[in-house]
Amino acid sequence: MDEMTGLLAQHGLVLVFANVLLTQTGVPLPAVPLLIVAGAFVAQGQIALFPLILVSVAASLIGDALWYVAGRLYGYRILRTLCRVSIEPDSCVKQTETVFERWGAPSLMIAKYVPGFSTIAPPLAGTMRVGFPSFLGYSAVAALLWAGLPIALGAIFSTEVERALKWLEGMGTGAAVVIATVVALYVGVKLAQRYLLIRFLRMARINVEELRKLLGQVEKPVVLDVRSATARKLYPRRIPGAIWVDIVAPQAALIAVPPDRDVVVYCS
Amino acid sequence: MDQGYRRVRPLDGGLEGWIEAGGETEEFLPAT
Repeated sequence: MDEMTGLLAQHGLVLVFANVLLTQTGVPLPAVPLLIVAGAFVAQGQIALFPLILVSVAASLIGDALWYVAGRLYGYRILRTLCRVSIEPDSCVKQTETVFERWGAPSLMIAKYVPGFSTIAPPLAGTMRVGFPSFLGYSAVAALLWAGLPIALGAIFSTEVERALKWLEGMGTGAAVVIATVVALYVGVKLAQRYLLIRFLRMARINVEELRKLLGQVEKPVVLDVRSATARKLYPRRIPGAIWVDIVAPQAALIAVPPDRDVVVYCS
Repeated sequence: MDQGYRRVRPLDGGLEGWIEAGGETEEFLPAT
C-alpha cells in the first residue's frame, strides 16, 4: 500500500487526468474519491494545486468536447444512444431538453451536479448548435466547480484522508482488494440498475411494427407526440395524426383523448 | 395518465426509430 501512496504522489496528475477523462467520456467510474485524495496531497505539498486543477479541467473539457462534437455530427441519435446506456431513454432526452430550454447554455455550469444531465448536456449542446466557444467557456466553469469542490474538501480534511490512507496501508495488499471490491461493487450496482430499468422499459413498450399494425385497424390508438418545443422546431414532422402534447401543460391536449382508446406516446 | 385509459405505451425508438423503419410522417400543423 505504501507503493500505492507513492504512486499517487509521483503520478497523481496522470492518474487524475486518466480518471477524470474516463469518467467524463461515460465510463461508470467514480472520480471524486481520487480528487479528494489528490486534494489532501496538495495540502501536504506532494502535488501542486495549479497543475492538478489544470489537468482535471483539461480532462473534463476533452471528454465534454468529444460528446459535443458527437452531438453536432449525429444529433438526436447520439442522445438516444447515450440515454439508453445511462438511464431511461425518453425521459432522459426530454428532461435534459427541458432544462436546456429553460436555462440555455449556462445550464452546462450545473450539469455535472445533476444525475443523468451530466452525460447528456454536452452532446445536447452540440445537437442544439450552441457555439463552441460558448460551450467551452461554460464547460470550463463547470469543470472547475466540479473538480474544485472535492479537491478543496480533500485539502481541508487532509488529516482525515491521511488517516484513512494509513489505515489502508496497514491492511497491506488487502487494501488493494478492498479498493478493487468497492469499485467493482459500484460498477456492478450501476450496471445492474441500468439492466433492470432497460428490461422493464422494453416490456412496457410498443415497437414500430406493432404500432403500424394498430394504425391499420379500425380502432386506432391515439398517438401523442410528447417531444419538446425545441425538438419539434428541429424536426417539424410527426407520425400521421399524432397529437402534440406540451409536457409542461398537458391537460389541454389530453382532454381531447378518448378515454377508451389505447395510447402510444413518442419522443425524438 | 394511465387512469381511465386501456393502455399507455411509449414507442420504442421514438420518432427516429419510426422514420428509420420507413414509417410515414406528415408536416406538423401548429393548430393541432
